[in-house]
Amino acid sequence: MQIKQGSLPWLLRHELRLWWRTLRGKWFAIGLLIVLGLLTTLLLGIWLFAASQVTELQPWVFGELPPELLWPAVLGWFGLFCYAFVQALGQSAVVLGDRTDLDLLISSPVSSKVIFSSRLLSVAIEIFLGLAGFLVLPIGLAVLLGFIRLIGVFPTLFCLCLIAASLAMLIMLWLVQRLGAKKAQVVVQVLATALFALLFLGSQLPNLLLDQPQTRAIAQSITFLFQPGGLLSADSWLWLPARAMFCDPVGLLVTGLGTAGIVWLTITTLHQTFISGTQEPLTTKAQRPSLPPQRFQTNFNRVIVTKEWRMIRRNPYVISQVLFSVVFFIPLLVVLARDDQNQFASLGAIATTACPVLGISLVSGLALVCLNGEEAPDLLRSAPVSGLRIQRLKLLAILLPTWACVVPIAGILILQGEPWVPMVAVFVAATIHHALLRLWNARPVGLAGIATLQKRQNSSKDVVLSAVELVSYLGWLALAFQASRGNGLVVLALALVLAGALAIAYWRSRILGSTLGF
Amino acid sequence: MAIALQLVSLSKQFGSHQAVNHLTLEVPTGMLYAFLGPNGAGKTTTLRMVVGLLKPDQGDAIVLGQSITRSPKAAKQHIAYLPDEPMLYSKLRPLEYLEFVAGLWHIPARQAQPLAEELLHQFGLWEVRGDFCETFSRGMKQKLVLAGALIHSPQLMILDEPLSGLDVAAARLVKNILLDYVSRGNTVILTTHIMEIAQQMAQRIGIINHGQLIAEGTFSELQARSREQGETLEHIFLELVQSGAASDFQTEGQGAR
Repeated sequence: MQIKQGSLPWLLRHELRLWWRTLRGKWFAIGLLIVLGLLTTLLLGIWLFAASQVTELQPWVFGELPPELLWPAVLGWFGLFCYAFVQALGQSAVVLGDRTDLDLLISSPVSSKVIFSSRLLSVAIEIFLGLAGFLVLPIGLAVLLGFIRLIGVFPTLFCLCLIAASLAMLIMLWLVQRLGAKKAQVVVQVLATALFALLFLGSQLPNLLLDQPQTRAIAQSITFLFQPGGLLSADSWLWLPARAMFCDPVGLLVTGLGTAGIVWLTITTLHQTFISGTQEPLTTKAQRPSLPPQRFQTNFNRVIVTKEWRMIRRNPYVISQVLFSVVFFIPLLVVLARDDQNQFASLGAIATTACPVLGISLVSGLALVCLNGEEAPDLLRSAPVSGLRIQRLKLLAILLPTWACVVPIAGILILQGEPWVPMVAVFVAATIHHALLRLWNARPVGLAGIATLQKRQNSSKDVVLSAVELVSYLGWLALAFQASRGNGLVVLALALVLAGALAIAYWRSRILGSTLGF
Repeated sequence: MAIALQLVSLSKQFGSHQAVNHLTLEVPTGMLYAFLGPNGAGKTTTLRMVVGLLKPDQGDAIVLGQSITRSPKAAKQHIAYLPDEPMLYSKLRPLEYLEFVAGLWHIPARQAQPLAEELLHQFGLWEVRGDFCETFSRGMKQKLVLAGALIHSPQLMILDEPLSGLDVAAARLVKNILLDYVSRGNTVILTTHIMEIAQQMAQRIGIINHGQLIAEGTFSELQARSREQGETLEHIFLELVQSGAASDFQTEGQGAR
C-alpha cells in the first residue's frame, strides 16, 4: 500500500525504520530480552501450577476483580510507568535535542503537528515494543490458561507508554527552553538515572528495612487511606489504569480518553512553543560570568593535573553516573554487612567492603573524562613531552580525588577506634588496579557527546575490557568482603586472580597498542 | 640559507597502500611553503610524520637540524602543528587552553601569561575569554588554536588546511598573521586546496601525488615548466595531477634543484 508522502504514517514509518536499524546492531540486548521473557513465562507457569495445588484457582472471566490481584497490578503499572518514563526521557533528549534532522523536518512543508506527533508516537511505540516483547510470552501463557482478561495489558501498556512519552517530551521541552539543548540533555540523563536509582531502591525497601517497631507504627498510621472510601482504597479511581490491565471497561475507557487528552495537549504544546520559544534559548548565550583574574602556572605537573581536574569538574554527568551507580550497590552492601544473627557488622567491616567498590566506580568515571575522553591527543603527542609522563600525571589526576574521598571515612574509623588500615590498603590497591586497567585498555570516546545514549555505548564495545573489568569489579568486591572478615588466605588467592587480570590487560596493551593517541 | 625542514626518503605504508613514497624535500627557513596535492595524495600523512604523530617506515624528517625519529623532544620544541580539525578542549576557557599549551612546551608563566592575553586581544577573543571553547564558531576555534601555536614561539609552523571554514575577516587575519610571522624569519608550511591562497602567499610550492613529489619550486618556476605560458596555479596543478605530465615535471624539477 502506498503511503501518502508527508503524512503521519509516512513520517512514523521513517522514524521506526531508523529505530529498527539502530536496534539491529544490538543482538545481545534482544537476546537478553527473549531469555528474560522465557524465564518469566517459566516462573509464571510454575507459580500457577503451585497455586493450583494449594487452592482452587479460578480463572476469572467476568465480574469483579479480586482485590488480591489489584495491588500487584497497581505495583506492576507503576513499575512499568517508571521504566517507560526513564526510557522516554532518554529518547526525548535524542529526538528533540540531538537529532539533526529536526531542522530539516521543520523547514519542510510537512505540518509541525505531524512532525511532533510522529516523534511522540515513535518514542511511545519503541518503548511499547520493547516492553511488549518481554511480556508477550507470559501474558500469552496466562491467556491460554484461561485468564483471558489479561489481554487488556497490551492496550493499557500502549496508553502507559504514550503518557510516559508525553510527560518526558514536555519536561525535555521545558528544560531546553530554560537551559539550552546541551545542558538539557545532561540534566535529563541525570534525572533519568536518579529516577531509575530511586525505583531500584524502592523495590529493595522490603530487604533494606528491618522488622522494626517504628516501621510497623508508620504502616499502621496510614492504613485509614486504604479503608473503603479512602483515597487509596481498592475502589479508588486512582487505580482505574491498573484495572484496565484486566479489561475493566470503565478503566479502559478512562485510560484511553485520558491518554488521548494528554497526547493532544503535548502535541499542541510542542507545536506552539517549539518553533517560537525553543530556538531562541538555543542560540542565546548565557550571561558571561565575571571571572577572577587567572594566574598561569609554570610547574608542568600542576598544569596537567589542573587541566584534568577542570575537565572533570565541568562534566557533572559522568560524576552523577558514578554516584548513582553507588545506589545500586546499597542493597548488596546491606546484605553483606549483616552477620549470621541478621545484625549489622562493625563500621570497619562495612567500610572495608564498600569503599573499594565505590573507589572503582569513581575511577571508571574519572578515567572516562581523563583517558577515554582526551580531546586533543595530537596536541599532547606533538608536544616535546614524554607520553609516559603525561599518562602518569593523568593517572594522578584520577587517583588523587578518589583517594581524597576515603580520607573522611578513614578519619571516622580512627576516631571510632575501628581498624582502618585494611580498608585503606584495599581501597588504594583497588583504585590503582582499576586505573591501570583503563590506561592500558581504554578506547577513545567523544567527550562532548558522552551524555547522549548512542555515543555512550561506544565505550562498551570492547568486550575483553568489559570482561576484565567485570572480573576486577567482582574480584575486588569479594576481596574487600573477605578482608573485612580477616580471611587472609582467601584474600591472597583473590589478589592473585586480580593480578592475573592486570597481567592480561598489560599483555593486551603490548599486543594491540594504545588507541588513546597520547 | 638554513634549512627549516628536510625530508630524507620519508616513507609510510598503510597495509598495501603506499601513502608516502620515499619523499625527499628541503624547505629553507624564513618562507611560506605551500604543500599541495589532491585528496589522498599523502600530504597529511607527511605532515603527521614530520611532527612526530606517525612513525615513518623509512627515512627521516630533520627539523632545524634535529631528527624527529632520533631526538623527537628537541625537534618538537621548535614545531607548532595545526591539524585541519582544531585540537581544543570543549570545557576549557581560552586562557586555560593557552596556559595548558604553554605548560606542554615548558614556557614560564611570567612569559606565557602576558603573551596569551596579547594574543587573545590580537585575535579578537578577549571578549569571549569567559566562555568554554565548545561554544565557539569554527573560525574562533581556528584562531584560538593559532594563538596556542604562537604562544610557544615556534620556528616552524605546520598547518593543515588552516583557512577552511573561516569567514573573510578571519581568513584575512590568519593570512596576515602568518605573513607577519614569516617576515620575522620563521617558516610556515601549509596545505590548502584553495590554489589562489598558495599562489598569493607562498614563496615556494611543492605538489605531491601518490605519496611522491611531482613538482617543486616558486610559482614562476612552475609556470615556466608548464606546457602553456601564463597559466594560474590551479591550471598547472590540474595539468600535473590529471594529465600524466607529472613525470616531465618531476624530472625537470629534480634537475633544477
